[in-house]
Amino acid sequence: MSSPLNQPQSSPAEASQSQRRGPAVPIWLIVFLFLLLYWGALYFDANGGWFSPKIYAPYRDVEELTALQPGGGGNEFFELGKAVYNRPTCSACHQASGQGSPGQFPPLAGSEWVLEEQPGRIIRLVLYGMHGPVTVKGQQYNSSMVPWNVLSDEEVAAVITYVRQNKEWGNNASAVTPDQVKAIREKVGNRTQPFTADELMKIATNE
Amino acid sequence: MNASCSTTPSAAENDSTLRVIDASCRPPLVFLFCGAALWLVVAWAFALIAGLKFHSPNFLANCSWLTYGRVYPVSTNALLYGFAIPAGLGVGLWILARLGRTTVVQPWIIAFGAKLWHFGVFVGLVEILRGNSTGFEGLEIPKAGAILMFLGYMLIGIWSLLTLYVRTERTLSAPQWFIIAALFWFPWIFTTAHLLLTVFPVRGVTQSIIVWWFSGNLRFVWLALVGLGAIFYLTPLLMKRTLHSEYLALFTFWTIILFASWNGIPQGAPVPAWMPALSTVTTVLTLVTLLTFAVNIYRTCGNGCSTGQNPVEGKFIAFGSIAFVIAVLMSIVGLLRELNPLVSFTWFTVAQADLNVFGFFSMTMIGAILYITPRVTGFNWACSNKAKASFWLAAAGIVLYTVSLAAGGVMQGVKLNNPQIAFNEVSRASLMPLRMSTLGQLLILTASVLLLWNLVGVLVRIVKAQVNPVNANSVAAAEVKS
Repeated sequence: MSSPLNQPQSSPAEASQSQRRGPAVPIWLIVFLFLLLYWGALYFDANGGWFSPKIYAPYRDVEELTALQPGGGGNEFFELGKAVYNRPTCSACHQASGQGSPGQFPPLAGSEWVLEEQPGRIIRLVLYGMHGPVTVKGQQYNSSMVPWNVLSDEEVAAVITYVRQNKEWGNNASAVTPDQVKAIREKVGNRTQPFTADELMKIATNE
Repeated sequence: MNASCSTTPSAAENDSTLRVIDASCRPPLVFLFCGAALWLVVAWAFALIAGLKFHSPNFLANCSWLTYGRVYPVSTNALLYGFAIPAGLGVGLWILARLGRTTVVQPWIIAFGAKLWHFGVFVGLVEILRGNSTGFEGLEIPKAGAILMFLGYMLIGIWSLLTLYVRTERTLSAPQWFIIAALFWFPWIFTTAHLLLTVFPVRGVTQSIIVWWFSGNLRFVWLALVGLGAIFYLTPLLMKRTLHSEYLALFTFWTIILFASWNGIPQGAPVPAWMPALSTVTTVLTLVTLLTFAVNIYRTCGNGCSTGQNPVEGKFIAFGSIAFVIAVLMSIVGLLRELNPLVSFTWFTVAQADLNVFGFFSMTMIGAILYITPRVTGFNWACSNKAKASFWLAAAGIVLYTVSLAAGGVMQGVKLNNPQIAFNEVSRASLMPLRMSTLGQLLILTASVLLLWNLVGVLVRIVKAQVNPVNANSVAAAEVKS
């Protein structure tokens, strides 16, 4: 380096190291830092979800998250059936309460057609529709139901399960699986006409 | 030169050591500062165009190069990469040379690096105007420009560190820590962000996390380190005192490194909740940075910062210090869970970001440039009235801009939270604050033009001196004496 660089320093800002250090950090500042760190720990505990990759704002922990999910904690298949029922595919006629409309559409709550031990007839009824007179819970009805074969096997199974197992309606029958629906779709084949009540009664319940 | 020019080097530092050191900084600093001043004008010109589009949507709407989606990123990138970083590198180099009491190592290599950086910014901004932006906010400059900028940075950074290595004053003092950390910080965040976003892109929401991380580190760490380093060096120089406490400065330094590097992930972002929560905690912890800084500067100024007899560069630096305090407080207010719904998705966040980049960092850097340039080049400012005017214009401009956007943002937030008010009404109500902010942008643009004018004046005189050395040297000597 050139010689002027070794000359003594003169300006105050360039004063020697020992004078330059100055007073230490005041204690209140360190106390303040630790108070803020304490607050930070509380804040993170309350809002941070402890590094869980599943927790997004505005949720704060796993319990809150699961409690607020649609259908959280319940039977997902049953919830799917409920969703299909109220789309409204079924609820348009049979009502959300499952009571139907007197004289027009038969009820599903407590219906012997719904609650048969084997679901063969009710699956056919839903898939291909029904036409003509039918007796439900001692009442005569005469209207028609459209076929629902556009629904997937899973959706048909779910909606029948929802109807058969709906405790609010007092129903309690076995669940229906998508495989059962698939089997009946294959067995009946490419039918375009809706079933009549008489036709259905001729089919054995376990087929 | 008349006596009112306050930028004359004081007698106290008329010592030959500093003159030799300053002279060695001349080539790199002239290149870094002149380019930076040019980009500052470009940044605010484009910001003005972008701002005008909010109240006159037809303005320049038929030219695809000048649509909002291209003009706005050009203004932010020109301000950050065109002005802030080269200015910071220049000031940092000068501080390293002065405090290390050594001349700059191979200054022409750094000057070449500065050219490369500015050329990279030019390529990047043209690419953005052509519609080739990367689409990541704060990182819009595509690969071609970014590579040139990175190479330029490496030349400047490595030779700055070599200058540090050959220092004759071995003990490091506070401003040096800040500058050294910043020198290492930028290549780390810049390469990481570019590798993960443009070279080997990660998928999904991770991209946003990286962009937030990068912007947070650039704004809250890099700018804070360089800006506070410059303030810690220049304030004592201007006040003719020593820095109140290096221990407090050390505290400021470590709180920035440890806490501020987590900042930047906004509240309510669609990422796992621990990220915004942690970011909020560290942002609030920067209160400590703020307090240590404020106490240190307040005590250094001797309990009474009278800016009255302060030279204009002191005014710039005092303004920058106050703006830093306010910008940090605004970022804390904006993140708190209770207040966040009022200000998120409003103009408040824009006001905070620009107060940080321009009000704090750029004002500090302009002050430093005004202080350094006469000492480094040997030429005084053509007229310090221009420098004074540029201070008042820039200060009034950024105050008008920030206050109108922050107040407008809060009003906007209150209205957005009221379901009775239609969205159209909310937008219409924000027109007046936007018009006022455009006026602020116009004032800042004028100030930037004055700064560029000053620097070009110095450049012209340097060139004249090269052509006709004897004559110009005697003029320069006469100026220094007066």
